[in-house]
Amino acid sequence: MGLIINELPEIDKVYTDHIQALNDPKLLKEYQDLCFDLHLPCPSAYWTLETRIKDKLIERKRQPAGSWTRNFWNWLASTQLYVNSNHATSFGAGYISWKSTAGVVGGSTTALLRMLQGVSYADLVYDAIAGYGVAADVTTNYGILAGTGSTAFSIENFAMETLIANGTGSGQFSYQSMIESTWSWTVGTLTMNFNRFRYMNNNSGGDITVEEVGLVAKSASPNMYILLERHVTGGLLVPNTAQLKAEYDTKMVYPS
Amino acid sequence: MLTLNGKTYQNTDELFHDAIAMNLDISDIEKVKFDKYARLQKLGRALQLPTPLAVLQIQVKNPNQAEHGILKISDSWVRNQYVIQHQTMALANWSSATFGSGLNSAKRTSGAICPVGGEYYTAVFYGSETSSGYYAAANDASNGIVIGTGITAESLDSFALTTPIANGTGTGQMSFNACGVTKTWSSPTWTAAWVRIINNNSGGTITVNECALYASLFSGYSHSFNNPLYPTIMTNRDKLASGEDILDAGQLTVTYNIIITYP
Repeated sequence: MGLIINELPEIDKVYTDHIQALNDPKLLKEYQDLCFDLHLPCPSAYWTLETRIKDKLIERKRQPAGSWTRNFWNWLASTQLYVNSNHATSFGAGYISWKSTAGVVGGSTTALLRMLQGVSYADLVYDAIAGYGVAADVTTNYGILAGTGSTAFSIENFAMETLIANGTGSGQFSYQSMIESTWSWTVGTLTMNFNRFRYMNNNSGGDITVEEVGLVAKSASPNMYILLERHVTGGLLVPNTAQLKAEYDTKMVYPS
Repeated sequence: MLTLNGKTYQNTDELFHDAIAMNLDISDIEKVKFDKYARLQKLGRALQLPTPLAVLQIQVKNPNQAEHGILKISDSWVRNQYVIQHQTMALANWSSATFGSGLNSAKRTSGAICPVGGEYYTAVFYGSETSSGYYAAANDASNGIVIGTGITAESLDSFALTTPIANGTGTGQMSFNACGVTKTWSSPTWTAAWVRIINNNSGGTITVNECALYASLFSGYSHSFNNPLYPTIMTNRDKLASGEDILDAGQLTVTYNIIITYP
């Protein structure tokens, strides 16, 4: 199936994927202008990937995010429409349900999709603890993850294509805990930003090229790991002994 | 492409045609807005960015009168909705105990803030379409689709109806049926049609000037009391261009079709 953007008669430029279209400031501006005009929320997201050796910057890529999976869209639909999951065992177009990174489908026809609940009363600040949401500790089950798979993104992706494992062996990264930053507000652009990031150290003895990064959340009910976004980077070299900082910003532009 | 009340419209002309057939007033300005949204929806799909939309439909059945109403894009999401949608997308918590521009918090219909200082809350969705969110039981005029007589202009910082109409049969009161939802998938959209029927048995005419969506939101637990907390917050308030007179023994049906378009 061709890209929808190339089917819009008013747009004469041809794009290879939605990320290339997102990089066209003219299109993003039109999206924002229409959102403002209609008084609708105007969200966006960005990945920033940096490699450093001993604090010396080797490479930096800042790219529009928005390679959101069906899991993400189902989460958005369930929570913004306030409607239940509609199937516990089926996943795909027309179903509001989860598909875990292990390929297991979950949901409840009597409840909204649940991302973060199920913790004990003592564990309340969900996004700031190592246990739920995307606040992963040293684990490759969830949080911001990196991989070497370069297959184009599909909304049906539910796992990283080729996850880089945690460790110091060949082809492995040493994952650090997720870092949660505070919210920030930019008055000039009326933009609220939420930033989170993760360091990964390459002590593998060889260079590793990161072709994909992803955002995986942990849900407690049902207990599963859920890929929300998988972004194909175009290739980012992380030399031996270098550190990768993978940063994810979620933005919302307000009308005033 | 929009699905309203279970029917999918491939273009806005079909929608306008049906609106006229149903005696729903749809102004030229609103028609332009629908056309703009059609463009935004295509662009959002192409860029794979969200374009959530709410469409308000009001139908009035008065004794000895033809049924009539209005259809409009609900372009009056309030700050609460912006914050909650952002939190949902970011999987993040409340972070401010005060409310307003540049702050990550919500204001309840009571005027209290989520979160309340000294306690810990998080904007987690919990519950079901028959117990929380825009659901409301019969006779509950404090949740779900609510209406009022206030004429204050729409504002991003509104957090409650200006002059809510209470449930009952006394003067100025109306009888609220339950507020429920029907959800429809019509590729590429999920649409939730939240509907509420409200009857006027007060003995006099009541002019409805404002409609709103009140959501019962699970907001985490109180550290102090280990109690689950379900604050009600307003996400949207529509001030009607001209009030709708609901005569005694008349009936008002308010529908919010809320639409999420997938890529």
